[in-house]
Amino acid sequence: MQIDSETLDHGILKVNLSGRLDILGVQAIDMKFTALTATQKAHVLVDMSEVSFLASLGMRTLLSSAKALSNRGGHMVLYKPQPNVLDVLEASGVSSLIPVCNDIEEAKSVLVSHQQG
Amino acid sequence: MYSSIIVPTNHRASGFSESLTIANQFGELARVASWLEQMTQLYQLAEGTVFKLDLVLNEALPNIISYAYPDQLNHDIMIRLENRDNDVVLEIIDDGMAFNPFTATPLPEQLNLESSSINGRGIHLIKSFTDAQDYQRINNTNIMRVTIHKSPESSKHLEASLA
Repeated sequence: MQIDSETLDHGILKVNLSGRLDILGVQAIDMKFTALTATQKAHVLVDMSEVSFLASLGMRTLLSSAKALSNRGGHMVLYKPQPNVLDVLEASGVSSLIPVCNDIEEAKSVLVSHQQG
Repeated sequence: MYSSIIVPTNHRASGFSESLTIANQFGELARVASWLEQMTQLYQLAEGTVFKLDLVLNEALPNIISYAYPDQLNHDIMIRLENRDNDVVLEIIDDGMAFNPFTATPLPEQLNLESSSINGRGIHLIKSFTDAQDYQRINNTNIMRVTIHKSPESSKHLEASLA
């Protein structure tokens, strides 16, 4: 499991995840993901396009950070999950709690609207 | 000390040709992943079917390892896979405390991020991504059995998510 980040226009933080978000994957990225996303008022675009597997432990990491972000006035969007991963997000109800976007401009506009809101 | 599972003889179903026994340790999950890769090749399973098996194993096994054993002993957990014409049947057998996952409290409705639970989605996912579920307690062992239709058009989990 790999994680890195970059800053996009409008100060949006893009976090790129790659690999399997199973128990081993979560152990590999959890601390860095939390440090990047949950400790500041940030607007975070999580690029899920290279995540091939997602279990409930992985969703716990996403939800935990999304909640902490929200409490600080920030916001999170999940970008372009693979079809199987999207099925997991939908079946678990997570996609109704954290917005999912398949278009990068749409994802950015969701975050910008929250910055302005 | 080591506790080995004695599989109830009256439970041995015909057709179970592949099984794996692991210890109740998280490090064993890497062996499970390798075994699933072997099964994928052996049975020529489609990506969607493998993803569902992968999900069930990754939800059920950590739960068993974390919560099933009140002692500090080593225990065996057995995994069996039956390949049928139209579906696969996965069994997970452990000698931990009696626990029927399919009668556990259902996932409450998720109204908003602030009030949502960050835990408790594993069993819901197992039910959502399988087409039939069964649990038996026989001779002090838990036997969880799930059936997954091989048809790529199977969309039970999507229907469940929309219900």
